[in-house]
Amino acid sequence: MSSAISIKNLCKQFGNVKALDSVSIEIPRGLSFALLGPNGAGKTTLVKIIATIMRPTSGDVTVDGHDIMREKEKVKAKIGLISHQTFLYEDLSAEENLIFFKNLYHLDDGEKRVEKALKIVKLFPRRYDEVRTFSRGMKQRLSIARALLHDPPILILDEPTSGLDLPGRRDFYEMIRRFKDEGRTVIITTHDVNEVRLIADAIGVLSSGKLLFSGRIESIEHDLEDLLIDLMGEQN
Amino acid sequence: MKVRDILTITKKDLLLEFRSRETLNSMLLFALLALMLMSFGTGASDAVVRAVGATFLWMVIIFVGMIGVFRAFTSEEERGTLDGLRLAPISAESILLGKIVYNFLLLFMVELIIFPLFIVMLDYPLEGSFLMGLLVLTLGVAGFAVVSTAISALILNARARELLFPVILLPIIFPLLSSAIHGLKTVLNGGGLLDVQKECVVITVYIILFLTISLLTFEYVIEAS
Repeated sequence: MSSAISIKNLCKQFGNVKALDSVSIEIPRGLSFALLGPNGAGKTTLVKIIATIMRPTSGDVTVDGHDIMREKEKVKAKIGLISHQTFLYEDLSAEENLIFFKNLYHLDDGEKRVEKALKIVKLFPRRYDEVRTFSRGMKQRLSIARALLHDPPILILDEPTSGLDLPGRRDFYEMIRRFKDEGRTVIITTHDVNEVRLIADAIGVLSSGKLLFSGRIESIEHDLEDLLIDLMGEQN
Repeated sequence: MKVRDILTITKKDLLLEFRSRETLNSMLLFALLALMLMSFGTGASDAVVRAVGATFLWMVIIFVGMIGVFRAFTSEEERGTLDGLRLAPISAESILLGKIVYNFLLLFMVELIIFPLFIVMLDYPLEGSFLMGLLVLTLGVAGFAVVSTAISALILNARARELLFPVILLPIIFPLLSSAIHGLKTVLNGGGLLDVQKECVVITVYIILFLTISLLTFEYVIEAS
């Protein structure tokens, strides 16, 4: 199976601080990969580099075979990013938001896609309402519709459940399972071990910019929580 | 860089502005108050109005412009929507040009309202053509929109950017402003287009120069911090 994302010796430095230190990961297509790590581990930096919105200091990253530095626009078309920030305009309606992103992604059959996406996230009846009137969970669902609009094969979820209540999280996990069933590669950053157990096929553990572990969940012999504590303990 | 992408960004910003009217209302209110103060303060002779009128008008445009232009990028950052733009498969230049066009249109709308008001409220002894005055003013406003948008983007990730913006902008824009003020003064006081040729050339060169520099550097500027 070829890689959806290939990262080789990736480094990112902010002044004297190494946010990522020689990180190498191969993420096969169709896999659900969880990036675990404490706050400040470098998860969001890694995600931003993969999504081409941040430049690496050194190293190589390819997304679906496209180099993130040389083929930015092709990479962007392959990726849907869902973050705790929704990237939505609160003063625009749900439909106006999606039409704006449809235009940015140059989708010719966009109207149909907008309608379909709104129906998938169950917001079609509220399509004319301004986003500011939505609950956090509804905004996050609309953010999913935004990320799915161009039908990307790779979905990156950067701590997407932060701020969501329990029903909101349950709906979210259900959607991630659906993405996997559709054959999409899902990368999720989190520091919640329970979330990993529910949705991930493989994990990568980052701490202080270093990749401490990368492998399939089934290859982990003892408890995931114990592994994390051991890894962090070894590093400290 | 595609015209369609530039217009998509501009259209979205105009829609947001017309819906909230946050920036436009503040700009117009400031402009009206400044014009009122001027009209009380310059109840003087025609000669005084002719001598300082164009400078007064441009001072209003600069301060009003700084309120509006500065918001174009910072509002995206405050809303958390800037990454949404960065993520889209469009060139960084399209984002910048979309914002420049939006800022120009915003300033142009304000200009269309305050220029006639300026003539009326200051009882300007107009000797030249009103339309020519509007034309020269519009060229200056276009230059202001280009330079100020580029600088507002440059300092996006800076600390205390609200303070930094005028400190950087005003010295840089000084040659453009002096040409714009001189050009406007000349046409309002009876000069023709030939009389302001030099000023128009300076403003146009400034627009081309800043547009080129900002387009070449914007990809690095827009990178996430």
